[in-house]
Amino acid sequence: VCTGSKIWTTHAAEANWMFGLVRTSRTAKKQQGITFVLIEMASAGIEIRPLVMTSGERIQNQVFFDEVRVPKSNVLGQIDDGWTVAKYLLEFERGGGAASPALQVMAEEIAAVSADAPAPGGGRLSDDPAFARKLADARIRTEVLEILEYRVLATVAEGKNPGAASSMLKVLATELSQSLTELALEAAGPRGRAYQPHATWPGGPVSDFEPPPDSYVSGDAWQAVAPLRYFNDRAGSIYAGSNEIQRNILAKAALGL
Amino acid sequence: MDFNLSKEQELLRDGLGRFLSTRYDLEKSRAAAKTGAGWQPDIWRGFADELGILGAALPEEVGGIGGGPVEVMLIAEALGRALVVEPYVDTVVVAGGLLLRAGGPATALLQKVVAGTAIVALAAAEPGSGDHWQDASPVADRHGDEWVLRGSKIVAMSAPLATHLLVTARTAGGISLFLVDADWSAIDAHHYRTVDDRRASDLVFDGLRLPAGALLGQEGQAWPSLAQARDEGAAAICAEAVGCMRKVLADTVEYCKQRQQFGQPIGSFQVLQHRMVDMYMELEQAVAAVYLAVLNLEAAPDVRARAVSAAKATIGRAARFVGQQAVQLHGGMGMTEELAVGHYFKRLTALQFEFGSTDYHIARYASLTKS
Repeated sequence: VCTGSKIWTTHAAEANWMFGLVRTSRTAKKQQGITFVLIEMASAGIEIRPLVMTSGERIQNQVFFDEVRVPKSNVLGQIDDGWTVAKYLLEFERGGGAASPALQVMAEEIAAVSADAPAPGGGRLSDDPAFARKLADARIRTEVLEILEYRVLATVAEGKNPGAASSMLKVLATELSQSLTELALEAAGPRGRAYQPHATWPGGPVSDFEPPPDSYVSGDAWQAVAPLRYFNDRAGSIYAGSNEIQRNILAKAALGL
Repeated sequence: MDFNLSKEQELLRDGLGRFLSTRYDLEKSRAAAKTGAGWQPDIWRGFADELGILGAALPEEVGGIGGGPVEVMLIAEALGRALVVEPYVDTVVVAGGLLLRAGGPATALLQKVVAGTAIVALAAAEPGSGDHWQDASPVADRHGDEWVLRGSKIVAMSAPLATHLLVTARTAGGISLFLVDADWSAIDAHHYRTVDDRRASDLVFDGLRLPAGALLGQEGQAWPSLAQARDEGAAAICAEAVGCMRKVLADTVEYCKQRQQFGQPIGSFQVLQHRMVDMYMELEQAVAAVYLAVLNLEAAPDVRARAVSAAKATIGRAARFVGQQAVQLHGGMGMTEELAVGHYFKRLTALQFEFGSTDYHIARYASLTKS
């Protein structure tokens, strides 16, 4: 029987199942005495409160549990040993996947649109030395990240865990992604000022927005979506263990500090 | 250098500060911006009648008090601190300066601006040239006693609230400025909200006929005044940014003292202390940069442009760092609309690109200082 609340449950409003860590006994060490359970969202006693993000979208939620009954068969791993399951998952959430292909696509899209977009000082954006330099820098980081990710994936392919390298990949990939979404916002120019979530569907539903009756969009879809992506992407350095926490992990695990 | 304010300037700052802290509610202003009229006209009335800030920096001939750049700085900073969406910079600083320099028939409209009964918005950005105002492509042709205007403008800030528009267009002699009634039955317009909860319009003029008197100032000679308006707008939003940054830094420090992690306030972690000190130093440089701009705003065009570019580049860097780190240090809550920081972050993002981006101003500074 679970009582309490969880916050930052992504897409809880759309989900029909969630997994969670629940405290099952009080112990001296905080990581012990928690259990990994699978919970059906239709269970009695669950209430979901959506959080409106800066982009206006409802992606994150707070989930409240009021004496929610979860069958014992829904426990993953051992009772009181949920942290072992969670750590294993976190290593793979933080890295072990590959972010670089998606980042490469983002960089290529920016390069393509900058050939047509106006530069702040006149002319085309692709001819603007400051912009070209920043884009090149981001693309170099993407190419290097790809090799780094291959190296970590090679370790995983040998049946080993990514370990602390997943913290490094998480930091590098999220900060690179933030550079790219920021560059896209710059490329959007004055059009990036318009709030038009109806142009595409970057993250989630928007509560207090009424699209124009004629569905008018100022500029192209990529320009319309650029500010929303930029705002949403600031979460990259916060979620899945903030980048400060990842650096703490690396200080210990990689450098022995 | 004398950084002391006069008695009148202190009164202006303190009076506006009091007005905003008692009357300007963040949630109410967001509601007006998002689902209401886009602004609160009673606040604007208060600015005009109770506080007299709309004329604080304009000459007595138009009903103002005869102040200058320092008054604009004080007002804009206070408005930034309260995250005011009403169009002070667009209407009073930018359009006000253009009307003042145009003189003649524009004077009567400027008096209405000071009285709070007219809202004027500038339409200068375009689909093809973005924010590079020199490349105006709409064309105004003279037909007898009339001008005929053809062309498009985008993201004309505050235009949906406006009673009048100032539109840049190309004429035989160069760039000219036209006064156009904001009559939405005669203009093909799309109005929308901006990411920082203001309003803007995309406009298409398809052979709009204007009387001869719609031309403001000399035909083909609008650029020097437009360049000045752009610099004055940039300086004003630099001061606004300082107000925003003071608020988010104070909120961030407070949050880091409260928020517990690993059994202690996160503000006790050195890595976050250093981050907040860096935010503080960016803010202090931003304050100094605003002075640099304000002290040179009435100087010769090249001197003014160099100082404004230095200021806007500094503020652009500061607004980016302080805004991003305020969100980062607030963690997930900084990503939501539940706290003030998320709203301020959006304004601190938008103003980096307004009246010339950071990169634009660095490039302009480089070209002005090339030996």
